[in-house]
Amino acid sequence: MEKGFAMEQVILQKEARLLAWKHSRNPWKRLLTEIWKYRVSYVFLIPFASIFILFTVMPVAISIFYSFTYNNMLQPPKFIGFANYIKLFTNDDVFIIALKNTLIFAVITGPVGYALSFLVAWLINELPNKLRAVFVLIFYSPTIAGSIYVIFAILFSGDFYGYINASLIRYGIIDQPIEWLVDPKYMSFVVILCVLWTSMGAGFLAFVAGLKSMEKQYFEAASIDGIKNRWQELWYVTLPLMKPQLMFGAILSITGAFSIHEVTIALLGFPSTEYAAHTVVNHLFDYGYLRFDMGYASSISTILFVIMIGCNKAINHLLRKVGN
Amino acid sequence: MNIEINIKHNPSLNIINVKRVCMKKILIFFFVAVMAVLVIRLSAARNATPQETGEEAPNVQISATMQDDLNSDAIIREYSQYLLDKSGAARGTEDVLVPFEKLKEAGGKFSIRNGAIVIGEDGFADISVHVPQSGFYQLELNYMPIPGRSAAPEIAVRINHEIPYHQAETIMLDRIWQDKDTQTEVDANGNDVRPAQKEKEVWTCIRVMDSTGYYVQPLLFYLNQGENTITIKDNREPVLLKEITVCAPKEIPDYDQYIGNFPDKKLAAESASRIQAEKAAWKNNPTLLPASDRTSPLTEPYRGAKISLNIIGGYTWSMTGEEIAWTFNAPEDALYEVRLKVKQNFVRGTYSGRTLRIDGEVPFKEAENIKFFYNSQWQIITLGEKNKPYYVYLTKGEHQLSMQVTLGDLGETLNTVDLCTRDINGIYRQFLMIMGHTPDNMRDYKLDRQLPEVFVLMSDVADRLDAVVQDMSELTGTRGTELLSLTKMSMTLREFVDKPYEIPGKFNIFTSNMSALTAWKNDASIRPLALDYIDIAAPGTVLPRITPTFLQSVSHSVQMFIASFMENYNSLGSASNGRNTVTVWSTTGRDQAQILNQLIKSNFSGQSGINVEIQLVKPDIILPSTVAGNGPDIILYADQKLPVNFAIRGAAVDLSQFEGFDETIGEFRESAMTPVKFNGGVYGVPEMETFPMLFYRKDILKELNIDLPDTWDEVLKVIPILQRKNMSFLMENGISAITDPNFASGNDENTAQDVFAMLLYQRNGRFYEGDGIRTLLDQEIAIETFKDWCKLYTNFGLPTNFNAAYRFRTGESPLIVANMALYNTLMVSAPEIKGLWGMATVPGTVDKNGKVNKAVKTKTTYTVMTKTSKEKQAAWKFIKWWVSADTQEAYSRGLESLMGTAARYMTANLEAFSRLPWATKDLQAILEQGKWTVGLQEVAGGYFLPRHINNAFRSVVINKAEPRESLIDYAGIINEELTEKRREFGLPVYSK
Repeated sequence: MEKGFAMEQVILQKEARLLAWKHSRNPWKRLLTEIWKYRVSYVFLIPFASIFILFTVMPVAISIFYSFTYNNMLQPPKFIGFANYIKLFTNDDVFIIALKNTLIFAVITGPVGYALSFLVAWLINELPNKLRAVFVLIFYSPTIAGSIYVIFAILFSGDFYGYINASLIRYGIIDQPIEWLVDPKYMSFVVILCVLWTSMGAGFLAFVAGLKSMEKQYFEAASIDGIKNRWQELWYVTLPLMKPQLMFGAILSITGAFSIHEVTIALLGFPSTEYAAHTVVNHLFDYGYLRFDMGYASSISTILFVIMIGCNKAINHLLRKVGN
Repeated sequence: MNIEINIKHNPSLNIINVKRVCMKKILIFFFVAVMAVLVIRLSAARNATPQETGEEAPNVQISATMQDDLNSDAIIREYSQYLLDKSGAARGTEDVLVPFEKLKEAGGKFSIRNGAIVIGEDGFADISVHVPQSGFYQLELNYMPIPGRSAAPEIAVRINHEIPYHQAETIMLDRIWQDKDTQTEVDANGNDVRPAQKEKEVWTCIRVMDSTGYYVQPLLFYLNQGENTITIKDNREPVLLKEITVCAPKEIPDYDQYIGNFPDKKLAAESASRIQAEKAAWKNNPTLLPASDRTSPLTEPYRGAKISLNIIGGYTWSMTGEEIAWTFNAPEDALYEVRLKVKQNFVRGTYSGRTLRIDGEVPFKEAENIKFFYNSQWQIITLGEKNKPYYVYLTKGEHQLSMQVTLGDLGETLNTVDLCTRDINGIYRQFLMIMGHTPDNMRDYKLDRQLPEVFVLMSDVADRLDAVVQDMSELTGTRGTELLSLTKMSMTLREFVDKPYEIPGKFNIFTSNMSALTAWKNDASIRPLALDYIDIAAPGTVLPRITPTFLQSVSHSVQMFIASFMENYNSLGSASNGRNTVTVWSTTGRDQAQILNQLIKSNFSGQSGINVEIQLVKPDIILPSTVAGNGPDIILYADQKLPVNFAIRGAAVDLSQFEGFDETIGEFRESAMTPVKFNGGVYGVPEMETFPMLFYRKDILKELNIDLPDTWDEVLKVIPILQRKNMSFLMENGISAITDPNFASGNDENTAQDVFAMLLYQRNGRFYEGDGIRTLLDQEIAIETFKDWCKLYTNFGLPTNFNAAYRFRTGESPLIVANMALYNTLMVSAPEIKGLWGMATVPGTVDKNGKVNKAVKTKTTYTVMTKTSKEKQAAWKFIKWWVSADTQEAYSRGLESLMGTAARYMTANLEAFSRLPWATKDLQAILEQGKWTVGLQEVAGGYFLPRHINNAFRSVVINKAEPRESLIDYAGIINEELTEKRREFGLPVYSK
C-alpha cells in the first residue's frame, strides 16, 4: 500500500508541475510543455532537423560570424566588427559593379527563365503522352548534362573560325571577328543567353508534373461556371491549383539567378574583362579563394543571403495574387 | 612627335567592284606607310631603352645553324617513286657481309669500342662494299644501342653520298626491353603493380625497314656493280654496329609451299603449356606493358576485384612496328596449331594486323599479316583459314614466338592518304593566299586561270583518294561511314575543279573536310589488339571456353559491386608500419602517381628507411585540408602562386634552412627559383619548367622565301609578307578568354601577361619595385613596351584568338611564338608535317649596343613542404631525392614509356632535361632559350598583375582606348591592392 501511494504521489506531483508549467508566464516553460505533449512528432522530426541544422543553419550562422572577422584561412580569425561591411559598401567599386550585374542578370534571367519554363511546360502539356516525354527530355537535357554550357564557348569563340563569327562573316554581317567573350559589350549578352538556355531546370519539371496531375473535374466545373477561354482557364483554374509548384519554381529561379558564377568563369574566364560580367558570387570567389580573405567573402555572402530572402518574400507576396 | 595612324588592317578584303579595288591599293599603301612608321618608331623606342646592368648577355648563334637547316631541307622523293625510277632493275642474288674488321676501316666520324664501331649523334660511317652485280639489295644491320636511354636510335642510310628516298632518312633501330622482375609485384592494397622495364643489352640483327610502317617489306636499295659507299649516319642516340650485310631480297613461301616441306611430319599429340601474354620475353617498346582486364572472369589469371595484370596490349600495342615476343617449350617434334585469345573491340570497319614470327622468321606468307576483325567479346583465333588451320612445324625444345603490329596491305594506302594530305594542305595555302580565310561569295576569283597547276593537282588528288577508298573497301570488306571523310574530300575537290566559281562559297567546307581527313588518317593508322594468352596446341584438341557460365558471371558482378565500396584505388604506396611516413599529395593522374610510386619503392624507401604515401587529390582541396590540419607533408605540382601564398600566411616551410639545399637547387635555372623566394626564404623546389619558343614551318618559309626572324624588327618585316598571302604570325595566348579548364583553382596562368613579360624583359624592364612594394607598369619602359605590343594587334592586325596547333598544321601560320608544350601536341597530332617544322629561340629585341636580348618568362610547378608536417627532415630527404637529376630523368622516361611522346615531361632539372631523348637541334634551341629565362617574382597581391594587364590590353585592342592612359590607370589599381595586402601582412608600404 505504502508503495502504491508513493507512486501516486509522484505522478500527481508531476501532473501538477506540468499543469503549472502549462499556465506559467514563462513562455519557455510553456513551449517545453507543448514539446513534451507532441514528443512523438518531434522524434519523427529529428532526422531531418539534425541534417538541416548541421548542413544549412550552421554554415549560414558560421558564415555570418566570420563576416565580422579577419580570416585568411591559414591563421585563426580575428574579430574586427563591422569593418568588412564598411569596406564593402564604401570602398569596393568592384562589389557595386558585381551587385549591379547580378541584379541585371537576376531581373532578366529570373523572371524570363521562369516564365519560359512555365510557358514551355504548359505548351508541352497539350501534347500526347509519348511525345511529351520526348520534349521534356529535350528541354531538360541542358540541365542534366551539367557543364554543357562550355559549348557556348565554342559557339561564341572569338576566332574567325568560331561558329557564330564564321557565319556572321560569311553572310557579310560583320567583316572582323567579334571577341564575344572578351569584349565587355557582348559578354553579358552571351552569359544571359546561356543562362536562359539552361534555365529549364527542376522548376520546369515541377511545372510539368503539376500540370499533369491536374484533375479534369475542375476544368469541367469551371466551364459550367462560365469560363470563356483558355486564358481565363489558365488564370482562374490552372495557376491557383499550381501554387505550390509555382512557389518551388520561383525559389529555384531566384537562387539560380543570384548565384550565376560558373557560367561566367567557363565562358569569360576569371575575372571577366574589366569586371564587366562580374557577379556577386564571382566576387565572393575572388576574395575567398584567390585573395584568401574569408572574412570579407563571408560578408559578401551574408549580403547575398539577405537579398535572396528579401526577393523570396516579395515573390511570395506576388504569388498570393495569382487567381485573384 | 606622336603620330598615331590607326588603320584596321583587314586580312580579308571583300572586293566587289573597281572602286573597292582602288580602296585595296590605297589600303596597302597605307599599310606599308604604317609599317614603315612603326619600324622607325620601334627602333627609336629600342634606342631609348636604358641599359640596366653591365652584365654580358650571351650572344645568339643558334639561328645561323637553324637557317642552314631551313635551306637544306629539299623535298626528297618517295620510296614508291624510287622503285618506279629504278623499275626493271634486277634483284641482287648474293649476300655480301661486311664484318667488323672491314667496318672499322670505313671513313667518317665514329669511334671503336670492343669489337664494334660506335656512331654517336651526328656521327657517320662511310662503308665501301663490293657488290658482284647491280640490282636491289636489302641491308641487314647487327647493332646494339648504347644502353641507358629510352628513345630508340634513329639512323639515316645514304647510298653513294646520295639520299635515295626520304624513308631512308629516318630508320629506327629498336631497343629491346623486358620486365625488371619476372614476379609481378603487389602493392599495399593487394593490386598488381606494373612491372618496371629494363633494357636488354643484346645484339640485334634486323633488315632495314620503313619506320612509318607504310611499306611492310624491308627497304630496297639499288647498288651498282663494283664498289659502292654506304653511309650510316646517326640522327639520334648513339649506336654500336658490329656487322653489315648487303643481302639479296628474301622471298617468303606461301603456306602450301611451307607445309610441302614437311610431308611426313606427324601432328602433335600434346599441346605446349599455355603462354600467358602478359609474361613477355621481350618487347621493342617499353610502353608495351601488361594491362588489367576485369570484364570477364575467364581472363587469366583472374583475381576478382583486385587489379590483376592479366593481358597485354590494347591501345598501347597499336603503333606499327611494335613487337612482343614470348618463349615456350614444344613437347615434341611435330606440327602444331597456333591459337590466340584476343579482343579487338577497338577499331571498327577495318582490321588490326599482326606479323607472326617463330624464332625470328615469318614461317609463311599468310603469317605476315594476320587480320583481327572487330568483335566486342574475347575470342579464340586459330591461325589459318576457316575450317582449315595452318600448322607450324616445331622441333622439341625452346622456341620464340613474336607478334608485330603491321599495317599490312593498308600501309601503302595510308601512305597515299598522307601524301594527299600534304598536297591538300598545299592547295589550301594556295587558295588562302588569294582569297583569305573568309572569301567573298559573290566574287569570282578566277582561280582556274590564276592557279592552273593547282587544278591539275586537285583532280589528281581526287583520283588518288578514290583509289584509296576502292582499296580500303576491298581489303577490309567495309564501306560507308568509315570512309566518308575520304569520299567527301574527293567529291569536294572534283566539284572545285568543275566549278571553280563555287570555291569561295564552299571554302569552309573544304577546311572542315581537311581536319576530318587528318583525323581519319590518325585513327586509321592505329592497330590495337588485346591478347590474353597463346596456345601452341595439338591439332584437334578442344578449344578452351571463353564465355563464362551464368554462375561465373553473377559471382563476378557481385564481387565487383562489393569491391566498389571497399577498394581505395586513390591511395598508393606502402602502408605505414610505424616508421617515418611522409604523405605526398599529387594532383596529376593515376599513371603519373604510379610511376612515381614505383620509383619510390625501388630507389628511395629502401635506402632511406622512409615510407612515402602518395594520395591523388583535386587541386581545390589542398587549401581547405591544410586549414583543417589534415594537409599532407608535401604538395607536388603546386602552381606558381601557391608557395609564396602559403608562405606569407605561415603555412609553408622555408626550405633553404635544410642541409644540402644549395646543391639541390644548383641543378635549376635561377629563373625557376625567383617565384618561390619571399622575405629571404625559399618555399618550393622546381619540378617542371616551360617557356615560349618560336615554332616555324620550314617548307612554307622556304616557299615564301622568308628567313627565320631573329629580332622583332625582322618580325615586323615578315608580318606584311605573310599577310599579303593571307597568312599570319601568331603569338599564343594573345587574348583568349578561357583561362583554365580546371577553373575551380582560379588559375589565370594563360594570360596575355606572358607575351607582355617577354617584350618587357627583353628591354630590361621589370614588373615590380623591390620585393613587390609597387608595380613599375607606370614607368616609361613599361608604357613604351605596352604601346608597341598593342600596336602589333591594333595596327598590324595579329589575330587575337585562334587554335595554334590547327593553324600551324595547315600552314596558315608558319611562325608561332608559343609555349614549348606545343612540341608535344605537334609530335602526336600532326604526323603529316613530321620533319617539316622546327623550334627556335623567340625573336629578340636589339639593345643600343646591337646585342639581341631574347628574354622570356618561365612557368614552373613546384614541390612544397607544409608547416603542419611532423616529419620535416624525412620530407626534405624525399624532396631532395625527387628533384634530383636521376629521379627526374627516370620519372620522365617512365611517363614517356607509359604514355608516349605526348607525355614528354619538361623537367626543370637541367641535367635531367639534357638526358631526355631530344633531337639534337631541338635540345640546342631549348637550352639556348633557357639561358634567357626570367622568373616573375610572386608578391603579396600579385594576382592583380595578370588580371589588370589583361584588362589594359583588352581595353586598348578591343575598345581602342589610349594605351598610355589605360596602363597607368590599371597600374594605379594594382598599386592600391599591393599596398592593402602589404598592410595586411605588416610589410613596409610604398609612400611617395
